[in-house]
Amino acid sequence: MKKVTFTKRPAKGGAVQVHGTVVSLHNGLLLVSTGIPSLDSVLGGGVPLGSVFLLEEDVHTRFSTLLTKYFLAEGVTSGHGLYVASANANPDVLLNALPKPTSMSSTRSSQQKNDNDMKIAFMYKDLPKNQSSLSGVSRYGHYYDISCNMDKSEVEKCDLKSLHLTDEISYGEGKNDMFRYTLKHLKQCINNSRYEMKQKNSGDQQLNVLRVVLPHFASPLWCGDKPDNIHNIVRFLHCLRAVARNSMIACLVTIPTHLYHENEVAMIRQLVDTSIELEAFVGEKNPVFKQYHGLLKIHKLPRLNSLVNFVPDSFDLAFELKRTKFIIEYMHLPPDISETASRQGMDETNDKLHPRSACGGVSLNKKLDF
Amino acid sequence: MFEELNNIAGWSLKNLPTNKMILISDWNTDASFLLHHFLAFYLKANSKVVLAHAAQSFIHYNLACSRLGVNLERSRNNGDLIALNLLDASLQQYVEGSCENLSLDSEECLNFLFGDNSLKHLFKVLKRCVENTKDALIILDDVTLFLGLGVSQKDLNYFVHYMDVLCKSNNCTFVTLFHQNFAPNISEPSPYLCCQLYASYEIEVKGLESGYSKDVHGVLTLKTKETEGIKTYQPHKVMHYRLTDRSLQLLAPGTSSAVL
Repeated sequence: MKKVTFTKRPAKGGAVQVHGTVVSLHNGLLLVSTGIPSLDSVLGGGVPLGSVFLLEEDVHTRFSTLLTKYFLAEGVTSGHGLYVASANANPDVLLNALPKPTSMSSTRSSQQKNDNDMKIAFMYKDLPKNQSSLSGVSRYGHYYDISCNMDKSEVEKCDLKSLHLTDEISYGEGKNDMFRYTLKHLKQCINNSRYEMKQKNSGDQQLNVLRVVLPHFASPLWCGDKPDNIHNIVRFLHCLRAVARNSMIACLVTIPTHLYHENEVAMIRQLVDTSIELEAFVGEKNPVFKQYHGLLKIHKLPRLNSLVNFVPDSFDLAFELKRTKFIIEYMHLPPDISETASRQGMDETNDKLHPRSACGGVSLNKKLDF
Repeated sequence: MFEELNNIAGWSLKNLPTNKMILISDWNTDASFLLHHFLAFYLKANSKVVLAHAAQSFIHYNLACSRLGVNLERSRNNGDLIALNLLDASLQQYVEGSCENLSLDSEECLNFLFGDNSLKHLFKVLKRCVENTKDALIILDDVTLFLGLGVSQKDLNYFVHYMDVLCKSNNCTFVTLFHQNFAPNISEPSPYLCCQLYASYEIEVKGLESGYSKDVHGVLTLKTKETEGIKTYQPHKVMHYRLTDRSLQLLAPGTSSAVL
């Protein structure tokens, strides 16, 4: 039987071993990392292979570009193939600015130190050291330093394919030209390669994952001003899902959904498997969110091959960008403070929310006067 | 198959709904788990099932239904199940401009929608699948996808009408899924209302008004339209539901174990 979306096969019959992937604990799907360990844990381990991941861009696209770079950088570190199709900027610009992994050199040195003999617990000698971060095993999910760029040599080791959709390419006639051209190009790259799931394993080609990235997809450059744009987009995403289900690819599509009408966005979300939205804080921040850079909203979680899906503990998520980490945390809003006297650390918040009274003390909302 | 849902609706293996159209609609959520219920239900009753899936691959249904106790692969090999892979057909037509037959055992091409953007050909194929059989089930996943792909509302309404006539003439049942997020073009008749008009049963699934909860996943409303008999008042059955890996638990509103 030709399996199109991966599930865990029993250990006896030749399990599919692909580097950079992990079998999900919840439903046995093969997952790949997004490049951000905390996002992986929110999604239940990572992005399932054979699915389409939609990232709804923030208005200034700063963080969505960053997430795209993390995704590609993770592909390089895991040795996956990369495919980028872009209409706005040359994909090489994106590929030349990937962040450098931080933990790689440190894990290598720590493994060398671990050579001392363990006399009693010798069975644990070969297992990786326990990491207290959200990621877990060091081979899956890495941290990246955005201030340094990845070495070009590392990037070139990967199987890179890119497509820059400029005006020079003749797309042919008909309505959905640019979309159709891109899909045909992608399909050609996948056919008869190591990314295709074949019924008989040819033996010589080791199966690998292809990360397909479509940055700023469905931006005005893609669509032009045709009235039935949404149908072209929907058609493309539908066919992309068909391609994804039959190959070993993980797609990341970023769409500026703030440009579209709510119902069109709902339509788009139906055709992808996972959808998250980034809302960056711009301008004056609410002091409650002082350490975060934005909110992460989950619109859809993948439900493949089962009736139920993984759900994170809470949907109130906020993200923060540090130089070496992109952190996503469950946001805990402070409790509603009314009569209780000033608490440690909450004074600042109170000051900004309620103006100081004339006598210099912090004004408390005392409604009851005993 | 979800026993509790069958009990509430009055269905059983001996009392299959036939000759009817069943509409599953949802609002901002995904009610496709009910499709798996109908697949398992009818296969266990040894009826013939035609699954026209445009939203997910066959493997998805196979693995999800295996938790419910049916093996779709085996049913397909036996001939009890005909799976029309509209997903792959759509891809092939998009890329190559025409498509060869992917899953049906006949020479006819599944070149349905995108030639003339209407669903006539799809209807013909479905009709051919159920002729000469009694008590068949046709599952179409899902109807709103066609609206997104460019089929006009008018054509969709015609399609639903044709399917209704097919059900009544061939004694089969038609189950489809409709996502209510789609806002209709006001100048044409709304496809949701049209589906509601023809459907004898409607199962509407929504999230809870108070927000997400781990114990109660949402509200399920069963609307029955009895066309025979003199009963004029048909109350809607509103239940809270909780979906687990293998079953659907239905609770009267407010009686979840988390609350009591």
